[in-house]
Amino acid sequence: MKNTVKVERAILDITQQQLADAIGVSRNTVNSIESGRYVPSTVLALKIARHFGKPTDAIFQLDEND
Amino acid sequence: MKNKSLLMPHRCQIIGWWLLLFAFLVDVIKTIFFRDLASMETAGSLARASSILFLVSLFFICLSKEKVEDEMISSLRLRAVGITAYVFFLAFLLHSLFSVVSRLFFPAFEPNLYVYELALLCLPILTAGLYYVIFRGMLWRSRKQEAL
Repeated sequence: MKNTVKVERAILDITQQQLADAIGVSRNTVNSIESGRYVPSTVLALKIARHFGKPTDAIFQLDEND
Repeated sequence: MKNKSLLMPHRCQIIGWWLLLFAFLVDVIKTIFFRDLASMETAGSLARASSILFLVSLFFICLSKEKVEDEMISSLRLRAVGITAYVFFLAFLLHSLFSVVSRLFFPAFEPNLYVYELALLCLPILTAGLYYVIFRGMLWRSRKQEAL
């Protein structure tokens, strides 16, 4: 699963810590999601999408391997 | 939407670390000051107190939440539990195989019951310890990758 969390965060000009605080996770989790090491649950993906004001599938897309 | 967590609050982990330090200190005091034969009873009481403190501290440390307990930490915990289960199942399997083989090829071999009893007593501690070491290792690796 690939995502554009890093890009969206850059658009809003917020840090990983600010995003982490807003969605109630640790900075380590945000970093892991951005680098693709961790695939978030549906609830967390929805929270991230809501924070950026975009639909979930605009931020998270299936990879060729998925 | 929130799933109910069975873990204790994070402050219990801090209490657990203090208890572990206290258990270690009690053991050190016992070893240094109660070595002679006259104070054997006191040394025994201290050893029991130290082991109980160690068990309680292990319980608190292993079963407390992290400062920020999110779903990634939960997934790491789950993976650590899975690996621990694998390790103990493999150890049990190897032990069973060893028992069968030793009975087949060395019929005179008598297993030491004291070792069995000790292993049975240590099993919960080993399980908790292994789980926690694996979990901490995964967390450390995840943070290290973040730093890169």
